[in-house]
Amino acid sequence: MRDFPTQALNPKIKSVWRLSDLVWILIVFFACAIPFALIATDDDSSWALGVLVIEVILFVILLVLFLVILPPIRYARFRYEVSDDFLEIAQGIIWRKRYMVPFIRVQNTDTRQGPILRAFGLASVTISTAAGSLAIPGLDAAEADTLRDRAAELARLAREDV
Amino acid sequence: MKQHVHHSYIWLGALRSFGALLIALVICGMSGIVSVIGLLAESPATGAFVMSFGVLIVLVFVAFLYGIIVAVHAVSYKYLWYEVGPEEFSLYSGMIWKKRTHVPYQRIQSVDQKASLLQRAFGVCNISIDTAGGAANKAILVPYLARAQADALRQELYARKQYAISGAAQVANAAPAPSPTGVAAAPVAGTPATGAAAAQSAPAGNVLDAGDALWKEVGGVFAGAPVEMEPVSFEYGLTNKELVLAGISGNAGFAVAFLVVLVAVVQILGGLFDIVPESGDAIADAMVTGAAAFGLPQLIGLIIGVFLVITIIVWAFSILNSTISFGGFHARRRGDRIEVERGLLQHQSQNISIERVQSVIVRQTWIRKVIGYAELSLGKVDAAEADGSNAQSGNSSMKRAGEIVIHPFCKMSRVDELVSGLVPEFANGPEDAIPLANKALRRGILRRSVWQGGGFWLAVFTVICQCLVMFAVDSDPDISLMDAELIRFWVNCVAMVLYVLAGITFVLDVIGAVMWYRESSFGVSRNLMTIVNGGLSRTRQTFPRSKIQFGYLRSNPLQRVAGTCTICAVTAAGVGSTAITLIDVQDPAGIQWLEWLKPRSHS
Repeated sequence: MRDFPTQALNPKIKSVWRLSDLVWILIVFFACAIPFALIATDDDSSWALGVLVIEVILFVILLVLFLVILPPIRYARFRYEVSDDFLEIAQGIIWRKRYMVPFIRVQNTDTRQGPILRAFGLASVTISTAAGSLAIPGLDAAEADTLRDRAAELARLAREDV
Repeated sequence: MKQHVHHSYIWLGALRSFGALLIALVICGMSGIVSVIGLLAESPATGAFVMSFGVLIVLVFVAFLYGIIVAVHAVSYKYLWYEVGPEEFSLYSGMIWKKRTHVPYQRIQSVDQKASLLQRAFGVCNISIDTAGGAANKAILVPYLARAQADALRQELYARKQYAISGAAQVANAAPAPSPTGVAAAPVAGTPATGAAAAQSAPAGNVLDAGDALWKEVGGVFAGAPVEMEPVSFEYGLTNKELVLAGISGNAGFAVAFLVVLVAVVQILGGLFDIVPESGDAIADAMVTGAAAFGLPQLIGLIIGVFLVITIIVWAFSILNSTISFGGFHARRRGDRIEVERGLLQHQSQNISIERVQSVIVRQTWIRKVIGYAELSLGKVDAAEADGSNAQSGNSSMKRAGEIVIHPFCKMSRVDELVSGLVPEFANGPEDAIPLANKALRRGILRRSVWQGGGFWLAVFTVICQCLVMFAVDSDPDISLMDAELIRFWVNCVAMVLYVLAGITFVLDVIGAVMWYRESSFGVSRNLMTIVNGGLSRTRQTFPRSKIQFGYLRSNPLQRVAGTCTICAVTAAGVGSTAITLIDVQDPAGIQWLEWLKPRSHS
C-alpha cells in the first residue's frame, strides 16, 4: 500500500474557511430571517415567531458545523505532495479523492488571492491541464509562489516519458 | 496571394439561399393563396383574373428577389478570399462588416470537406478548418472550393503545418533539450507494421461502392484534376452486409417511424376536416356503412393493416436513406492522418491526425452484442460546431460529440485487425485484465436495480399513485358505489401493467448488473490502458497513458467499507474533457494504477 501524501496546508486556512463560511451563512441568515422578523414585530403573529426560532436554531447548527466541526476535519483530510514530476492531492471528507497529476500534462499554473486569503497572508495555487484544473487552497503566499514557479518549471522541463 | 473561392459561390450559393427564401415566402403567402382559391370558388371570372394577375406579380417579384440575391452574392464573392501566407492562413470576408480570420499553421488540427448533392454535381465542396480551441473556438468555414483547389489547399495547409512544427522542433533541439517529443516519434514506430495489413484488406466492398467510384471518376463539372497526396497505408470500406446493418442500426428505428406515421395521419385528417367541414361526418358515415358491410373487426383489422404497411414503408425509406448516407464509406490511413469519408449523395470527409486521437472506443449496443458486432470510433478533442447551417442531417450514431466513427458495424473478430491497421499506435493493448472487486457484484446489483433502477422507482411511483387514487375514491362521498368500483378496476388494471413493466425493467437491470460485474475490467500495458464497462451494452475504451491528463481515485463511505474505489482517467477528448471511469475496483489495484500513472524517470 502506498503512503498517503504528506504535506498539509497552512493551519491558518482553517480561519480563512471559518471567516468565508461565516460571511455566507450570515448573508443567508439575514436574507431569510429579516422578513419574518418584520412580520413578527408588526402583527405579533406567533407563526412568524416560530419560523424565526427554527431559523435561529438552523443558524446555530450551521455555525457550529461550519465554524467548529468541519474546518479541522477538512484541514486534516487535505494532503498534497509535490514530487519531481508529479503532484498528488488527497481531499474530501465523505467522498474522498486522490488525484495524480503528472507535470508533463500541466498547461499553466497560477496563484490566486482573494481579500480574506490576503488578510491572512495566504494564496491558493491552481494547476490547469488540458482537461480541467485542480487547486491547492491555502498556502503561505511565498510558499505558493515557489510552488507555482516550481510546478511551472517542472512542467517546462518534464518531457514525454515512455 | 489572394485566392478567391470558386465562382459557383455566386450562382449555386444564391440558389441555396434563394430556396430558403422561397420556402419562407410560400409559407407567408399561404393565406393569400387560400383566399384566392376561395375567390375562385365564389366567382370564377374575377377569381381567374385575380389569380393570373397575382401569379404574374409573384413571378416578377421572385425574379427580382433572385436578381438581388445573386447580386449580393456576386459582390460578397468579390470580398471573400483567402491567403496562404508565410506564417498563417487568413480568410477575409464581409462587404460592410469586414471579418478577417487568421490561423497560424501550427494551430491547424484538421481540414474537413463536406459537399451537398448539388455541390457534388458541380465538383465543389465546403472546407472547414478546425483549430481545436475548445468550446469557444469555432472551425473556419471556407465555402465553395473546386475539389482540386480544396485538395490542394488541404495538402498545402498540412505541409505548412508540418514545416512549422519541424522548424520549431529544430529550434528546440538546438537548445539543451536532448530529444524531440515522443508524440512525434510514436507514429513512426507504429507505421511499418501496416504495410502487410494493407495488402490483404483492400477487397472488401459493397453495392454502393460502384456509385461512389463513379462520383470519384466523374468528379463533378468543375472538380479539376485530382491532386497527388501521400500514399495510403491502410484502407477499408464496408461489405454489403455491414452496409445494410449499419443502415438499419443508424436509422431512427421502427417505433419512431410508427410515431411519425401516426402524427402525419392525424395531421392530414385534421387538416381535411378543417378544409372540408362536412368530411368528418362523411367519414363517420362511411365508417358506419363500411362496418355494416364488413363487420367491425375486419374494418379495424384493415385499418391497422394499412397503417402498418405505411409504417413499414416509411421505415424502409429511412433505412435506405441512412444506408445511402453510409455509401462510399472509406476509412484510410495516410501518413500520420486518419481519413473517414462517407455519403453517396451528401458527401463528407473528415480527418484527424494521430496525435489528436485520444482513445479508441469499441461500443456494442445489446443488439450488436447478440450478433457479435461493434461500432468503432475514435475519441478526439472537439471544437464547437462550425455553424448552425453546417450541421448536417446525419443519423444519431454519427453525431456523438468528440468522436469519429471509423466503422459503424464491424465484426468483433475484425476489430483488432482494423485497429492495428488504421491506428497501430492503439493496437496491442494490455493483455491481462484486472477484474472488479468481489463486493462489486452486490453493490452493482443494488446500484443498478434500486438506486438507479428505472423499474424499482416505477414500481414505487405506481404504488404511491395507486394508494392516493384509492384513498381519494374511498374518502369522497360524492362518488357512487358503482363508479367507485369501476374506477378501482381501471386503476388496478393500469397499475398491473405498470407493475409488469417495472418487473421486466427490474429483471433487466439485475441481469445488466451481473453482466456488468462479469465483463468490466481494466488493464494497463506499458503505455496503453483499457477500460471495459460491460452490461447489456458494452463499451471498451483504449487510450494511451500520454493522453491521460490526470487521474484520480474516488471513494464514498460504503466503498471504503467494501475496500473498493472508483478509478477515473481524465482525457481532453470532447469539448472540455472526458472522464473514463470504472466503479468498484479493489483498493490495491487502484493504488497500483495511480502508481502506473506516475511519470517514469528517463533511466
